[in-house]
Amino acid sequence: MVLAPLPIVLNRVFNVSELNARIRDRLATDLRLSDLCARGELSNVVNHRSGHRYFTLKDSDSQISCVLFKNHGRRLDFELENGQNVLIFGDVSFYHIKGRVQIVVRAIQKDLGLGARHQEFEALKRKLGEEGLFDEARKRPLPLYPGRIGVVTSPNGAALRDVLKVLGSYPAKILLSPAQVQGESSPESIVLALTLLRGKADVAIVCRGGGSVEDLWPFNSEIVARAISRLDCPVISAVGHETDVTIADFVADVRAPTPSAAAEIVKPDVSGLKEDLKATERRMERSLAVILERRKNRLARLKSGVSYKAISRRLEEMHRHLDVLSERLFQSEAERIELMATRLDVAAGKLDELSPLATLTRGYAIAIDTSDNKLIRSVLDVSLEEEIDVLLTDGHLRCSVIDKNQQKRF
Amino acid sequence: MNEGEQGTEVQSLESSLKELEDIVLALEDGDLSLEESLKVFERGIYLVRRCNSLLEGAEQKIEVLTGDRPE
Repeated sequence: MVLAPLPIVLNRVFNVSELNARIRDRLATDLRLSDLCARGELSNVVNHRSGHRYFTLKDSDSQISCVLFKNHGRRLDFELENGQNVLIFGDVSFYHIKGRVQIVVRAIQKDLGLGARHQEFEALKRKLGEEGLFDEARKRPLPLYPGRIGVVTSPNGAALRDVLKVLGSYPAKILLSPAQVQGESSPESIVLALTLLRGKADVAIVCRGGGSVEDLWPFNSEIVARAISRLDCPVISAVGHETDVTIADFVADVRAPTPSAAAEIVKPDVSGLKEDLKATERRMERSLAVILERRKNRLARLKSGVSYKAISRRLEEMHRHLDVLSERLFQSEAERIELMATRLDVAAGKLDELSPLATLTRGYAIAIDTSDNKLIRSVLDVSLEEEIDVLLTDGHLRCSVIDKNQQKRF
Repeated sequence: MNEGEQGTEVQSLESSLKELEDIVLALEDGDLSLEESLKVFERGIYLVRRCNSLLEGAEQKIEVLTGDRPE
């Protein structure tokens, strides 16, 4: 068998020791590879009887050998077990005897499931995201001038102090709904505090100050996320520092980098508002001036319309109207008089018929005593020689009583 | 139960501002009678004063909600 010819550029041929020494030197001078922290899962844990511990640190794709020497392992307060998530602190070194890269671990601690928690975080984020809880369309607009500001936070925390300081004298009622913002029962406490604000606030701030990832963890819980999405007013989240992002931030209508910032967002610009009020006052005054001006112009227009000609024409019209009216009145008066005359005639005729004088035309006569103008009804009413008047239809006769006879003639 | 009472004063900042807006629009519209205009204007000035005094004289009011479970 013929070997392929070696490359020609062999101006230096390493022996293995020299090569490994070079690799070691190279690694040792890279500052990024010392005093480093790494996170991963333990496997191949070997507790050597020498007191040194050997293990592999891995994640889903890669692995690296580690050694915890006896002197550093003495302070270890837990037993290393395969599958544990840990944080290690140490330096990358090159074990030249075996040509192996490894981490010389100087400290190790349980990762308290942070790796798992990170996955949990991502899973929940994905789940709620798919449900649409983070949708822009769900984000509610903040009220311009909130009258009731809910604050869900620890009553003793710096976050509350910051919020109150920023809100200052803005005229709103601040509803503090106290919550435990870290620890085991914190999520339930936050949920309760949020629920208490139902129907009472125009806007709510959910906040806490900075802390470790652990401290902020309650704000990554599903029940808190759902309570925020269910609250009947817009919610501003402000958890930890600017760089901390929690599930609560995704669900909230607005995410503020810090509690102070949240308060700034909620609080209207008071001096701007005062400016607006001033402007409003001016606008109203201007409008009123315009209205008055318009009335004045209208009045002027009306006045110019009242000319002498217009008045005399109007007077003429009125005169004509008066004429018509009086004519009608006159006419109706004449008719009335005529009517009355007719009625009078009729009445007079009737009266005539009934009059005793009418009997005279039929040949009767009426005798009247001239001394007292009384009707003479009996022969006894007169004495001999007395003068009486006898009324006939066409005049009267002055007579003297010549004789009285009590016997009836007919 | 006295939810209606809560923040009546501060609520009126928001509602006062809203009413003010309406008043300005009505005045600018110019459809009101002179008498109404004057009345509305007077009301507007009152609201401006009221809002200003709200903004100036306010002290921080904090109410702590108790942890009793609602209903």
